[in-house]
Amino acid sequence: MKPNFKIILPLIVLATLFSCSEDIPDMVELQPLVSASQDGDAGSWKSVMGIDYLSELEMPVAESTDSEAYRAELERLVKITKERTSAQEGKIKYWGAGGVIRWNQIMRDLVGKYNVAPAVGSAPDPQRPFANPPFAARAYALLSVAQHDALIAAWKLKYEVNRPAPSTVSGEVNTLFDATPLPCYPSEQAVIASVSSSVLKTLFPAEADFIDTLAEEHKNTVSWGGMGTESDVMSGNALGTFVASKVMGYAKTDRMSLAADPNATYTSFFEINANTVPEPWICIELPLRSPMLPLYGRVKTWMDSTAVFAALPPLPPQVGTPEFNADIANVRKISDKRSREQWRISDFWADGGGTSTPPGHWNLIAENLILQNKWSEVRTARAFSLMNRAIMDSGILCWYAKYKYYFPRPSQIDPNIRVATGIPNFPSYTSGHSSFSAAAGTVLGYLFPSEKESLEQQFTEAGDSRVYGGIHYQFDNLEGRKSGVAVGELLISEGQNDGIDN
Amino acid sequence: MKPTKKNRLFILLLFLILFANYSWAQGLLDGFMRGRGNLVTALSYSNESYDTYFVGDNKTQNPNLGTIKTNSFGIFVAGGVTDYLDVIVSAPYISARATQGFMSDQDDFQDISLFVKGRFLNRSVANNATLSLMAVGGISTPLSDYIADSPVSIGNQSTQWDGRLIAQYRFSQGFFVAAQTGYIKRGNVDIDRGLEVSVPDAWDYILRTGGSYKKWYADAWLQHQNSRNGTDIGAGVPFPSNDIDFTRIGLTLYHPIPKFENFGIAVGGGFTLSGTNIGKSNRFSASLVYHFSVAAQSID
Repeated sequence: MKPNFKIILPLIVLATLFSCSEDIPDMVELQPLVSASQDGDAGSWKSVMGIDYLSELEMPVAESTDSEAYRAELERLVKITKERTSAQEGKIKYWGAGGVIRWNQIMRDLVGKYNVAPAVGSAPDPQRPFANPPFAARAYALLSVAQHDALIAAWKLKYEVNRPAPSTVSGEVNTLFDATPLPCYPSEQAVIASVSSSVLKTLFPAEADFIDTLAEEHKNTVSWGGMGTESDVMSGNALGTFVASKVMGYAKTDRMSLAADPNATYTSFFEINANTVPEPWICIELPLRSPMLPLYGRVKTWMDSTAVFAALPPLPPQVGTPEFNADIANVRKISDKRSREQWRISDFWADGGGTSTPPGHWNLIAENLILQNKWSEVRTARAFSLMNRAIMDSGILCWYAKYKYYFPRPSQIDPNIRVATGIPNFPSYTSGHSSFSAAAGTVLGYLFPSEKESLEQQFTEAGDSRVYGGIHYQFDNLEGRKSGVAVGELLISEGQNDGIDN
Repeated sequence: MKPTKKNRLFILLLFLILFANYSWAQGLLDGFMRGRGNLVTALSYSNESYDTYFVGDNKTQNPNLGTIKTNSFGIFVAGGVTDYLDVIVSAPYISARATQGFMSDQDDFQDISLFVKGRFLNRSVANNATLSLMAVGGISTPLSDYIADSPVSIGNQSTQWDGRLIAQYRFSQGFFVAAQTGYIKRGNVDIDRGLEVSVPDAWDYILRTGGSYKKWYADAWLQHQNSRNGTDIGAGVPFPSNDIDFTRIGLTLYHPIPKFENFGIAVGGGFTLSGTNIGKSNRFSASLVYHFSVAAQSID
């Protein structure tokens, strides 16, 4: 018997050694979008900026499909589609999953890349912004609003011009996907590519080349796939660029440029002194760092600021009071006996440095719901726009509370409170996670009524995760959630009146 | 139970020293065989710490973590099924903490390891020296749901398959040199943030030299481990996906406890010289060893 092992064991070892290919988890591939409805009435939906883009922008007159100019375009398109490579087909499929979704993903990737705190003492680099959660909330909102407005204008023009898909004009066009009944002038994909890339380049100037390459590729898929001619793409490009310039013009004036507050004027603005704040927040990390964006609370809200600030959380229970002591005892108890499930929840919702931030997490949640429902590009853009404005406005409110009340983190008061996640370097009250998440989940609950309960559960858990992590009091969480829901409801009332059946 | 042959007893120990953490588990494996019916059991304690770590190749420190200190308690059993085949099992309980900042401590049972080692060549060569060749197959898998994706953690949650070859040349005077090379295949892990993460496979190389004498055993070793791919430590990067490389040296000593038949003490140290995406750690271990033989006579 004994010699067997001499043969078997080396064989086992060799088999193990040579089976050494790595299995990397694949990204889930998205299916090409075939929208459930074309949303033909979207041209009459309300724009966010209240601008009549089509009357301000001089667009070239769309040639009729009988015209010589169009025939020439069509001939060139036939040639392009016949010479299509498999690499080009891959790109068509990639962008075909939905331009709004893809650019939202690209934004999330860029936010993740730029969500790295700069070294202490380094001068801010406007080319390479720190994409922290408040920055990200605004970035997602600007992108979504620009997409929303550009696509409403695009839909309006589409149904005015009513130019059919090239493949219905000429049977020679070699399409990859079946043509849709959506009129194709201007190309909505060109609109999305240009509006999105323009916004992203303004936010992340150092990525301009990368973003331009993606936008060029996105626009090219329109002709590679036989979905639109040159004039469809060019008009879309012009419209998208124009809408982006309007939205980013607004962004220049929204006071974000003051938010970093390098001279710490916030202490006088919020009148932080020993009388107003007896136990002030202090930085408890090394080296000491200024708190994040102290004047973000003064950035312009999307919704009426009086309505938003009506939801400003009240004064928190002061340090040392029985109510406070009971709450911090709860945090300490969690810290002492944190369950594995509390750890998991804390990690799951942490969305810390290097990630797309909590607002990005909610964009991913929205993406999944939108894809399940096969929404058109314009309906998708409107959903992101409602949600991301709610996220940003609730973030502004939360940041205002953070600096107005300037409340210490639990570990500042009780250093034995050990955390499961990083302690954010800014005041505790209220929780940003609770605010962002409740606002996002409330809006999504309106847009996807069948998911309302699950979304409530998710935004509740997202807020609870910060208490489980040991970095927030329960009153931070509950008041953040309450104001997030209130801001979400403001966006719902807009959604009920913007001309769209839900 | 009866004592095993004296000249074997002292050479069983080096694997006791360095097995309590996943990146140290290969220290379990030596170039000796237990012999049929012989068992070695050990309880070990080890202490590891580092205040400097490598991000990619760059040395760094984090004042918000200070020094990462790890204590491990392990149980270990190795037994000879035949003279050609050993089975080795170990399981550590580990606690880790950061001396600065507020990150929570971690403590739990880590990974259970099972190795099967077969000797397929054992030949006397010139001057009564012996050349042995061995093959090893092993698996280690988490015993608990410990947290893998954190700067303070006790392991990476990956189930690992280990295959390696060991060659040992032993002189008649007791002096030996051994070399081994292994491939560690690491399974993907699901981390708390809802991602499945690929944990890089690694090549592992160990050189060991020392002596086994009537009472004493001593060795010195050099280990180099090299992940095949992976990420650098960075904001948002899952820790289990890190490209971990290291070079370490260490020492092992064993001596029986006088008047306590079959008991011995092993001590050891291991020192990280260089690395990528790993702490520049020092590790010290001590083990209480008990060895005995079961039914060896009846089968002869």
